[in-house]
Amino acid sequence: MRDLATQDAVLYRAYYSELLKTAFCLTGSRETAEDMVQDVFVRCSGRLEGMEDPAFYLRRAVVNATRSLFRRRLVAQRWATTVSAWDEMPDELVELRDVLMRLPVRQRSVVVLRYVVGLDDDEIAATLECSRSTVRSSARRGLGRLRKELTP
Amino acid sequence: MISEEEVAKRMVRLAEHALVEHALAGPTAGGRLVESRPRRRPGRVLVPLAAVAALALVLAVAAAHIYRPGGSTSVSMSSRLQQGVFSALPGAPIPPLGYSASAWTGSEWLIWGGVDGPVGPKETTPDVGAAYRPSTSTWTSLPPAPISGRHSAVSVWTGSEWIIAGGAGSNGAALTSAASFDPSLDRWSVLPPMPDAPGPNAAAVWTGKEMIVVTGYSPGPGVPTGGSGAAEAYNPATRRWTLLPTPPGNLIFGQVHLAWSGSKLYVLRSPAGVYLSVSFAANPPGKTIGSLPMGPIPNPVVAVFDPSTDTWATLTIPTTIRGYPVLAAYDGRLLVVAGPGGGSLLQVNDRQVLISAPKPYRQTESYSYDPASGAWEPLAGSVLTGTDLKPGEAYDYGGGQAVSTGTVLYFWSGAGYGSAFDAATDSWTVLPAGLDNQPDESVIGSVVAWTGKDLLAWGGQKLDPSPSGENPVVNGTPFGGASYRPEN
Repeated sequence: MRDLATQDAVLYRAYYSELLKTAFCLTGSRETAEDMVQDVFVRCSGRLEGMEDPAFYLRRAVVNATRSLFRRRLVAQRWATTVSAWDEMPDELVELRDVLMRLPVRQRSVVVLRYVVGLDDDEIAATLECSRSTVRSSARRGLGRLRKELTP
Repeated sequence: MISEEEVAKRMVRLAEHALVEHALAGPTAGGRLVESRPRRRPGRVLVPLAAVAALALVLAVAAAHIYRPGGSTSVSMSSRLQQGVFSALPGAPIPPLGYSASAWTGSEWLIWGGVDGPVGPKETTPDVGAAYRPSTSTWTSLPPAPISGRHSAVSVWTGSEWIIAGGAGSNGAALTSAASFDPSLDRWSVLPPMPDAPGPNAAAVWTGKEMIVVTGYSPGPGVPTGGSGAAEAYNPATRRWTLLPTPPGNLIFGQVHLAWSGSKLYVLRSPAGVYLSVSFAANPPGKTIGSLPMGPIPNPVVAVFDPSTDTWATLTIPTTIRGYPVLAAYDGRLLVVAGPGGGSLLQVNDRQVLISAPKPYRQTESYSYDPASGAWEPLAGSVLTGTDLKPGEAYDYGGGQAVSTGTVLYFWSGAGYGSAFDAATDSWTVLPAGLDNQPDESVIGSVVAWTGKDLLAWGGQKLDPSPSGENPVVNGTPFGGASYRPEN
């Protein structure tokens, strides 16, 4: 019998921080991000053994969970009641988070995967299951809006 | 403007904040996975009580600021609008056209006519129509109409039939012919011609008994003629058109603005003389798009028509219209959005005037009128807020671009950004950017409808920035359509 618990624990320790940061930047809420990453690991439990790049599937699962979350329109409520409560971030980071939350999910995903996770365009395209040109255009628009709205 | 590197640095710093509490409480102990939800993390218990008290205070203060008596909170409406979802419409069986006629029947969105490409000698106005059913996401074609194809026709849905009249043909001539379409029979009927050609700037409302049309004004070389500022009515029960008394006040150049309150018709008018920008004549429509310093119109008037007595009255608005205005009726009130203060207006064809929105020109003056008290009240906020606009972008406030749900007034053309005015809280919200795969350019001449759940947009022409970066140009590319659904 495979030792799933051990295998999953290794992956959990290896990728938890990265996925949490990614989910936090995608949802704007730490609590939502923690729930999301927890759920992703639970759903992927036992399925990642032997995969060449389990991080790829975990990241994709987080992005897809973000899409689903925003489709269910739960973020606004969670965001409104949790983020302001527990975060003590500098104003400029609060502003950045607010602008990120106003970006369409795809643009947000692209800039987060590029600047937080450090993926290149091909990796982002594979993660988001879209073309490289879509990644480039989404990055251009998302970055452009961030630069514009963050400029004093 | 801050650099890409600075954005990247802040992104990394923001991401690190995800781990702050994680470092205090630690991930789930021992790397074991917890499968049950909801759950509480140990770290939550360790939060000092003072922080909880501070949170309660913050939330109480915030609630006091956002509460509006008699309405929902602005936060909830704003969140609903900002978390809305955009979707692409499936391909229609007809080519996307600009300035089509459209009507929402309660189950189907009917679209007919329109112009193919920018207004000019090569334009065509085919006789084509289609119906979109959101419940099945399917399109069907309409049978050929008994009148010639046209753009900018006026139309109303009576509850059982769709009446289409006037408009302009491909040669620019103003038309008087009219027809009706019964979707239950999938059949067209020819109606008597209108007594006065309404021209391409006219607007119409359905009163429950009659279709009332107020004609526009289209002067200038190369511009379709027609439109004397008259008012006329069609009664389906008698199949007769009637010329109504002429509205008081004077014509305002461009699209006629009407609002129907349920018992009275409101028409925006100029207090003295026909308002016409001299520079317009030097900018042939459909070609060079020049800046059009159009305004101001101090103390514009609203002509009020009572169909029960066939009489007009006049209201004076305590503001100055500097941009292209919008008129709408809500909850018994009348809403006037007077456009960006000092913003330049761009004339791109015979019907549409666009508001350019460079940075200094985003503010609007908006007023609401309460017939019961006879008082005008200024509305807070602006249509185009903050940083959603790029210099050189244009926003279309003409024709069917302003859509009312009864409580929310949307400004959207199907692409780019939109705005929404929530009448319950008198607040504006900038909608999130549209479809990921759609360009950010604005679209002019699209048709827009509210189905009760979704905002639909179809057709029209995209705008591209000009090489000079100042004024947009119509590239003639048709727009396939999109829908927007606010959060439930």
